[in-house]
Amino acid sequence: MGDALKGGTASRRTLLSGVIAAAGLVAGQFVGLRSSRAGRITIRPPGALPEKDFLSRCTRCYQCGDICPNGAITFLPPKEGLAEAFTPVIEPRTQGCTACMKCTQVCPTGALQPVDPNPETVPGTIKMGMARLNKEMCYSWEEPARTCGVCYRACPFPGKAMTISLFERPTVNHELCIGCGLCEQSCIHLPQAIRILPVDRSQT
Amino acid sequence: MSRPGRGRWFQVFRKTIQLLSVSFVAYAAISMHWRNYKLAHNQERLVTLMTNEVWGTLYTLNERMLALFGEPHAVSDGFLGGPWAAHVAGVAFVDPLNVGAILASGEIPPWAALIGALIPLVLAVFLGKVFCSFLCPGRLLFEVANGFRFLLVRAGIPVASVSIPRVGLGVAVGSVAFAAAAGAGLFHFVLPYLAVSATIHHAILGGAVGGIAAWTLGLFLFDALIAPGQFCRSVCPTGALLELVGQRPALAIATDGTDCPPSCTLCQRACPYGLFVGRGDHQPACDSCGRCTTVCPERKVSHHIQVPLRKSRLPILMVLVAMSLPTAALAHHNKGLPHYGYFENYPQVPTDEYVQISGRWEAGATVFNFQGLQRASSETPHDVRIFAYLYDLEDDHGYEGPLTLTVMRKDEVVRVLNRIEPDEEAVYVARVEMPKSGDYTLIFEFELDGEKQRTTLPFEVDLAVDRVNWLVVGGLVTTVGMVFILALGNKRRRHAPRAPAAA
Repeated sequence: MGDALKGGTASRRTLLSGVIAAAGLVAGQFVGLRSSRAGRITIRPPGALPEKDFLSRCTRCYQCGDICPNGAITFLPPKEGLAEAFTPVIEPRTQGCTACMKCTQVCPTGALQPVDPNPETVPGTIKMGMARLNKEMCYSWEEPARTCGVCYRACPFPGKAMTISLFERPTVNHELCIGCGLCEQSCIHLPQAIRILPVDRSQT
Repeated sequence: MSRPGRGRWFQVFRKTIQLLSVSFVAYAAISMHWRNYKLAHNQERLVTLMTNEVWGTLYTLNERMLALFGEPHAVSDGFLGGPWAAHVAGVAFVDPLNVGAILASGEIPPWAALIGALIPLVLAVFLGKVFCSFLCPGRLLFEVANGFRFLLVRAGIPVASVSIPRVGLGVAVGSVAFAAAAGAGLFHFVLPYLAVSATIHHAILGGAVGGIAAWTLGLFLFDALIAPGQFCRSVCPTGALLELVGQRPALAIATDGTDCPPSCTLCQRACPYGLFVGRGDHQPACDSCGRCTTVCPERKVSHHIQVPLRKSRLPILMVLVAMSLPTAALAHHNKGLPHYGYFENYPQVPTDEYVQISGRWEAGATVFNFQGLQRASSETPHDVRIFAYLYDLEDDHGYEGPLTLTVMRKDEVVRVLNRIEPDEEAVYVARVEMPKSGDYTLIFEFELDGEKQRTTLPFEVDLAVDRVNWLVVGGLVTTVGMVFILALGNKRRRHAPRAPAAA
């Protein structure tokens, strides 16, 4: 097939192809070993596999972003590191997750495992991150209190993932909080008194 | 000399499918907004109030269209993704290369993904590389590039014609090996169709579009100025894979078997890959696009196809507009968030927020690049405000003691600020004149139980964020101009063979 085509003899092509294939193999090992997002906050969509498996499964097809009715899923740019490039993340400050679990059902490769969207069972089954409340910043926890309660009203699982006491002082239930980030999105303090921090997903 | 024939309709068909393929990607991404409106407003009047009449009308149109097939929201959920991995009418497709990479990494993808990967391969066995000629948005990009190249040649601008060795299978093996170890991100850079659809997705879903759009533009210029058709022919791993599978496709282009004049190379020059149908050795690299059939003066090549140039302008427009949208969208908002009813950009809600966790300490800061209304007329245009905090993750409370904040630009100290206590509840506020845009580091130094503590937080400052981006303006003007030039320059091209490469 190739003789009519310009572009080198067959053996030269084979050699070059082999070199490229080997280079891909070596470069992949190199890039795969180092992650440039150490210390940065990476909140994955619900149902995500442990980070390493997630990265090798995620096909970067943007379907989770397409189906998200809240526009919460964005994609990391390549400058954040090639290993994580174009993978989906949730930035709770910009847009939190409404826990509809549709992204988990369309993921073609199982990087996001299907999750039943039943609100009775969702708290406790998934953990994208964990809300961390800074009481020193929170208006409601101030003395004297400036009653706020915005985060409690934003929480999709009020009374479960978050409870409030006098002056609408919030308390996060670390067992049931799924890390959806609606509280962080709604927080009127600046910087946010409540913030989603990543949980260790190396095991789950 | 070329007369309209059956082939012309084949070409119209091909262009329509190409257009549909790109439209699908854009539609899949825009549907995210539709779902959002459906969830938030659920009626045209509210969508119109919240956005404008155009969106309101489109919202209803889309809903009525979807309603023909069932419950609109459920039907809409069946159309996602792009040529790399998609849901079409609820059926999942995945690129075989990606499934290969997942298998190579030792994971077993769901059976639906395995079947989805087999469909394109089975298609290639019967129809050859029809994916390339019909569905690949990258090919569409290169066809536009080819038209652009033609104009350059006509204008007397020299363009190169470099030949690349055919290393597609090597690239396929290499990128699969890479992806098995380091994820599928690399495929964006070796598959033009993924680059194009990622650009569209990032643009519409509101991601950082710069890097991948630049790469797409680079591919366009590479094809137009340096090596026409070479990326598809020699580098693309999917092309190589489909070629390997589709050695004897049912759909093919061939001559009628009679001898050609020995010196005629018109069909070879018309072929985007430089294949020579007249000599009969174009298989299996040929993808049956049919461009060669338009130039044969004796109509020896089957599928006598005339390139409907007028119709081809529409997909060109689509791709170019899709490519220029992101920059325009990014230029509109100061910091990526809507400006809640303000008629000018007003940085009320900052998105420049940085958090870094190192060991026990979570250091964070909200950075206003400029806090005021008019940077241009301000006496302190480089006035950056930093609202920093520290959180003790071990003792679970915000730090409120004495703190030394140092703003560093590489190794140079920009400013040192000493605070005995927070300026407001657990927040340390600093106002710093920044010398220039770029990467900075904020160093937190404080004492805890007599021990010195130190933690750092990298952040960025962009002092030019609200300036007119002439690159964007230039890009838009060039894009629109190019469409006009292509449309005008098309009349004469109808009967002209493909531009020969300038030596």
